[in-house]
Amino acid sequence: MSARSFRKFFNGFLGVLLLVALPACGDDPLVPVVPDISTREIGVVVTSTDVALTIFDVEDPTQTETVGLGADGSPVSLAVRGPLAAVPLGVVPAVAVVDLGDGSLLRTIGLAEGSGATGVAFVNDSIVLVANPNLNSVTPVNVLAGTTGAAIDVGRFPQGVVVEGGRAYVLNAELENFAPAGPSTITVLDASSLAVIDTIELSGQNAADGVIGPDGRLYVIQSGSWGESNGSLSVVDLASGTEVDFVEGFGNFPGSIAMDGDGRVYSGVFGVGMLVWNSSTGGFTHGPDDAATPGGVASTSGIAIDSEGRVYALTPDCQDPAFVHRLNTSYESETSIPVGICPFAIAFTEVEEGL
Amino acid sequence: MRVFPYLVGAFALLVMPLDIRAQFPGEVRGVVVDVLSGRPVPSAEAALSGSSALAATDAAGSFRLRGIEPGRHTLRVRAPGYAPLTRDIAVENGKVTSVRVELVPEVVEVEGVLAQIEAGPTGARSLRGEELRGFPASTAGDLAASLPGVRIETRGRGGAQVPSIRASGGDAVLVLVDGVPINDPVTGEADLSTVRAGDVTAVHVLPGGQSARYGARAEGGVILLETTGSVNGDRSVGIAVGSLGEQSLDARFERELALGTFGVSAGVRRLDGQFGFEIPESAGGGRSTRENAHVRGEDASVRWSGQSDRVRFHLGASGERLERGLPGRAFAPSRTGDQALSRGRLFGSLEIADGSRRELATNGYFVFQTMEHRDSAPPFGDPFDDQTTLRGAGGEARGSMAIRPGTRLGAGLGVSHLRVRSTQLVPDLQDMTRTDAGLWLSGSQEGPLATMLSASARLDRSGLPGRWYVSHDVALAWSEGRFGARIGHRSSFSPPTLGDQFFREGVGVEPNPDLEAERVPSEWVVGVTYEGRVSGVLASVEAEAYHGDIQGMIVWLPDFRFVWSPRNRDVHRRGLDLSMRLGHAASGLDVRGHVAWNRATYARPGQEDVQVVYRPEHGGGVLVTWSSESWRASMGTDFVGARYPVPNRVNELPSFWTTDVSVARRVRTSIGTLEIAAEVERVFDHEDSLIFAFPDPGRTARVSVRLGR
Repeated sequence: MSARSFRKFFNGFLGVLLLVALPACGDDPLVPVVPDISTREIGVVVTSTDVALTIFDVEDPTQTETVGLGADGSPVSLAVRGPLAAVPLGVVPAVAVVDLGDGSLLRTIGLAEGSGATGVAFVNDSIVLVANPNLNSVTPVNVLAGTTGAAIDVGRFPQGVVVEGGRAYVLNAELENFAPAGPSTITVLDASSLAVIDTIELSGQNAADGVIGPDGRLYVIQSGSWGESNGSLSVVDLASGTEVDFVEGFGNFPGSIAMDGDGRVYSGVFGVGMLVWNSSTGGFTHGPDDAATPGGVASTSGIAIDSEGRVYALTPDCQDPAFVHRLNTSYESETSIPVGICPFAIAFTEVEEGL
Repeated sequence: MRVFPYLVGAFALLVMPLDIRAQFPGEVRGVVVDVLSGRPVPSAEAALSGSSALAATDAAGSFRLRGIEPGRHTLRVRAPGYAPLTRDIAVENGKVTSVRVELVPEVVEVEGVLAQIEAGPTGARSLRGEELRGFPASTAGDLAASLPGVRIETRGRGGAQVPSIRASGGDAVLVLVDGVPINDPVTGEADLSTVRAGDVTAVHVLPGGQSARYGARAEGGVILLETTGSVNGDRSVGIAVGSLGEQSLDARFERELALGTFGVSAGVRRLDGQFGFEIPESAGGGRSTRENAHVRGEDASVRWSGQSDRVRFHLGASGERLERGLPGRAFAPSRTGDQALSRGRLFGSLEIADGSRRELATNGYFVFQTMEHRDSAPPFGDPFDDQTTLRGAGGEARGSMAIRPGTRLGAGLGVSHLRVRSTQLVPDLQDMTRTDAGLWLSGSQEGPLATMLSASARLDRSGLPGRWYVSHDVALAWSEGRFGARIGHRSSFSPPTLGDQFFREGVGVEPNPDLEAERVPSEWVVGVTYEGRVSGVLASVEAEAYHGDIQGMIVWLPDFRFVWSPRNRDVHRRGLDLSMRLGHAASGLDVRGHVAWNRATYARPGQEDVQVVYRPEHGGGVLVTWSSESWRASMGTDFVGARYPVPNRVNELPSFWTTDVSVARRVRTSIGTLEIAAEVERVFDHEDSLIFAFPDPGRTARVSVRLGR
């Protein structure tokens, strides 16, 4: 058996194994999902230059912890679920799995060579989907067992994944040679079978991040091209699988998005800072011309909202340790929490008290 | 301005006076041996009283004092662990006076801490002659790595070997091969793997800022490689085969004729470089095969050297060709990347001495180099096929004279002119020329209590666009018997490279035209040495501490777009080198050890304890050698301390040890001396590497046979 045919056989075998194993993953006994014990909320920040996570206590942000993810890599995204975080390592084709409770690197799971690993989401308690932008595919990864399934072909240059309602939405930037080659698309997968069931065309370029709004729609921020100030937002109705709204004017290279319960869209824009767009009115509260500048810096990478509805924004300083800023209602920094170098993404989760 | 024709003309004029040798006074040649064992005494100091003529013995115990005025002189010879000896000698006009000096070992009772002084003006750490044979080495980088303070950044076996001294960047170490700089014109880095170890006859390392003497790039230190002279006799041929498909063949021939000594040498080497390895767990784990790691190299050189009573000259030409794969990182291998280097050098030097009163020396070179980098399918980014050609010429003239007993003044001028054509650079600079120049003054004054005060200052025009830099070096040295001490203060600089400032922008890289030179404006150095004999064991200990912050160290960092660009960052830097040597002549046992502490941390307010990326804070090594008339065995262990791969205190890479062993037997035959050697690198099969994800094959072996006369 040649190496290629063996690889095909092996990949097929893994695929079958994954299909058999997936239904059992949702109630994995290793991850308690019934929090009848006290928990605390933590924030988790990915820092790219030093390839690390900074974990901070939401109630007491002076309590921080740093977890190294590996000696090399360019992580810019993460997914959290309970006490676990999964972080694709970018140039290193692997996913780092971190136990957020005790702040330790559990394992690093290899992906296909040249993956470019960027974009991740939990499908269930043990399976994450990791986007391979350089391979135009996503790979299911069992973060508890440390195994991977067969890659699934999607659109060009996928770099974000959103899971909602039993479906996984893969955000395809449609880049060639790192430049937009056409409008963004979304590949829709069945979260159980991981079969491709639909493709949604968007109007903007360079889909980067997405979030499910309080209206149940998928909001996709699209970066456009650096320097051209052509960032945009697409709103997708998940029931019909169509783009129902397209908003331009999101400035110079937005890269992250978050929404609060009132339907306000927050977008971190590398070129100007943080924009606020109201989905109810369809207008900007803070547009590119009067962008919020968390920490006084006119550049924002990651955005996230904690369980109390407070907005956190990251300043992408890639040379020195940077900060995550907790913002007040005027979008000014009320608390600055030191993190590692070049923070890109932030998420919140809960872990057991005392861990 | 065309400088090269003038340099050639000047050099030719300086060479012409060779035929007037009969006008010059005599010369003293000698050999220094241990009176008990009869073994040669290396590193002994031979001097003539009443003059500054001074020489150190080589590994064979030989020394030579040139340009001596005819008449009666007192020869003084001293060596650590021996009683000093004086002898009256007569030097005749135009003739060589030969002497044999037998030193009597001196028993010294040593108590407490041994401390002593570095009496040498330069503080060079050297390997030469027989000492070079004790190291398993394929390249000049392997040899330099054994000297204290030097760290070689290797990107896999057969890959580039870039030196760092005292936590410097690779482009802040100046490397001269027979006086010709080999630092790449675009990257500024010198690749020591391009020089075959068998061609090297001496390695000198000058740690710390040396810009006051050597100008640009000498901020971290200077490595001087010599390929003149002979280590294995005047004729030798050697072959070697080893793991990873290693094969090499080299030959060297020298003959002394009436016009001087002529020598030729040539060598070829091959390395397949393929091996299986474990992908680091933190990169996902698994097993892979290192491919595209081959090396093919050829080199040849010719030399002509000679000397008369007051004149010594050397002319040479060499060429080398190197082609190798660029396999990349373990997690992102390239199977199509490769590099090809072709380099030719013409070089020469001329020294004229008028007794001890006046000395004049000059050297010049011409270098032609083509470097190609290409990859049709790189793991990231666009395919590339770049070529850089360099035509350069340079030289320097220097002189010194004694203006009165104990006082000496000197001056020098150095000029280099480069024409660089490179598709790696921005379009406007793909065909550019630059001229750098340096002017320096120096002086020394003997003081009371066996002290010597020396000072030098240098003005350089360097970089693109040309800027002016001033460097200085002031030192006070004391030497008495077995003890010595030195304290110095100096400044140095390393300008940004063409690549730093004008790299053609591509996916993921961006030049920084506004980059400033790295500068060490204030570096303090304090050193002590001791040399003595304890119960028949020759002991030497040297310690040198330094403190010199780097202003604007050039480091490459990404921005939020993952576009990497060079930037200036201030770095706090201080450290300590400690080395010792124990030699037992009767048994042939020699033990050397060194440890280095290099603390180089980013100057960040509130967070000043982060060591610079890939600069281990601790390092060291031990080499044990035993030799007899026909056998030589050695075991060397090197320690690489923990280091950070990222600019933060996280993801620390653990320290590791590597151990090499070698055994050689020398047999005298009717046609010469046959030496058969076996070497095992990484005998305990450690696969760690300084840089993450450049896999090492672990244990490898090499067998070599050399026939020499």
